[in-house]
Amino acid sequence: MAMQVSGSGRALAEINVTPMVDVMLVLLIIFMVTAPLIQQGVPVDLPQTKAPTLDVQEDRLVLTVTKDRHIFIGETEIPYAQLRDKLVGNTKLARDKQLYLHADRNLPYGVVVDLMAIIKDAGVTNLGMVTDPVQPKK
Amino acid sequence: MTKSFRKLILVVGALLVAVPASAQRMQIAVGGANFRPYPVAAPDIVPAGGDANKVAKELSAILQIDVDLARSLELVPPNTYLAPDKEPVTKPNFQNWTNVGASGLIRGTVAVAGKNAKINLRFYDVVAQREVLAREYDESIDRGSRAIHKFLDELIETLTGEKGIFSSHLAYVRKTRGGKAVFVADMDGGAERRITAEGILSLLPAWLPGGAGIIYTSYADGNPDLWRIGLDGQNAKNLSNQRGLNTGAQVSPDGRRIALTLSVDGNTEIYVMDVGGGNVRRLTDSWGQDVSPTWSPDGSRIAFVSSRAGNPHIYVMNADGSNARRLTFQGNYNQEPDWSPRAGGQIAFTARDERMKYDIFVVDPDTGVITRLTQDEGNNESPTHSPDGHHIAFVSTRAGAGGRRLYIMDVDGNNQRLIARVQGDVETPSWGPRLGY
Repeated sequence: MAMQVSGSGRALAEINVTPMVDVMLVLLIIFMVTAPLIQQGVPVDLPQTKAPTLDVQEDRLVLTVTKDRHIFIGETEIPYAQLRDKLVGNTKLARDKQLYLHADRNLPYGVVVDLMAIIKDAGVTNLGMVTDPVQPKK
Repeated sequence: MTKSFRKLILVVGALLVAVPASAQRMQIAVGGANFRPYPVAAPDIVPAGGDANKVAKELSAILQIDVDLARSLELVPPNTYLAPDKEPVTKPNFQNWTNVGASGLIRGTVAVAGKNAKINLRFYDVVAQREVLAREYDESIDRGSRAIHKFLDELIETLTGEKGIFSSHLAYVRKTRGGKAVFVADMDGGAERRITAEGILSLLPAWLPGGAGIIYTSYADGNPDLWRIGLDGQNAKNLSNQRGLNTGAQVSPDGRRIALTLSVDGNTEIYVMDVGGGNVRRLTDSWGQDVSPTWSPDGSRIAFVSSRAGNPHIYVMNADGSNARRLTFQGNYNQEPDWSPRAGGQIAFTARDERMKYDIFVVDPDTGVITRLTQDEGNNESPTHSPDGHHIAFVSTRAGAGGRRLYIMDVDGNNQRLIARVQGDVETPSWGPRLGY
């Protein structure tokens, strides 16, 4: 399509949407959840935190990433190249708007943020970071 | 517009129905206040013997098209599925199907021997983790779609208490060499065949009850006369050949009478006659044009178009012609009414707006309340209701090239889908009854 050269006075009609896009991008609500004692999923070494957490709701979609960067939806391993396809368009995510990220504590920050961007694109508004609560010292 | 509206409904529905209902206690109240389509995964049908790869591929595509069309079902997008391709069809990993948002799962296999296909279809309630329906069908390899249609009709009856409409058919007109002809196809656009001759002008098809044949207007003898013909294209027979128009015919729900437009007196008026063509009686008597009759579900009333108030508007009268009253007071060009076969159903019609664009609306025959179904997507015309009243087929120019294409939407305007297998230029579709295969 050819770009039309607009006459003078047209410029004001264009709304700059960039600030709005930024607002949309940061609207990902993040909270921490505690993993239940019995891990039915893929075992990973979770980060520990003293911050207050919520209990895991069993029926949420769980995205697991192991230390060596193997990715699982539920208990099924998904190649990274397919991850975006599988999450964007996922009917459960579109309905729940919620996902639990169950990632190993040793993963680089960049890897986690990359996953969060994909999760955001899948329509998730509430992201639960699964953690191990720090046990009080005896 | 409608798409985002649908999303809104999904979100609201998700809030209201926190726990997905399981199939055993579920009866989806289709169209109710909390209605949300039942999400179903339909992975590819697996070849299971003989030279079945091609048939399996065709059937997989038809299955996914049909699940997507059904008002009570929502196709979970196949590219999001997590299950490995080799997952055994009798042993689904239900967690994987729950994780893609499916409440139901259809799995199938097809084995081919010569010209015959053995098609096995199963439905699983993913939430309850159990098999609900399992059927095996023997079909010819080029009509394996019948197995899909029969299975989905039965499945939808299991889920909603009301049989599906995949064994119903559409009749419509398309251009042919030197004229226009009547075609019949499965409601999803499959198995299209021409039933009237090429080289003459045939128009405005309508169904005889039980699919006993089609009535239509043809210029075969030079005048627009009313004819009937079998679905096999045989036994064409003239029903009405009065001077002037013999057109816009619709059979009453009891199958005994035909309402149609005649212009034998010089002005177009609505008449009714016996289904064989005899006993012609005039129902309207106005100075304007009275055309396009459509029967109420119980056959007691007829809606039609009249220009007696200046512009064409929708009117309703008793089936004996008494008590005619104007139904639409908005717009200035309302035409092509089609009364839903559902008890208490609405009348769909085509309206031209001030921008000279055509769109589809519905009007409540008792209150006169009008609702818009299409907007800002080309011209949309010629609505016709499915036999269960849950869908409307229509033609639209929204695709641009190719002229008028055939579309199906839910009766509330959601879920508008191109019937891609039917080429353009389509005119005046008429949705017929379910046919036994």
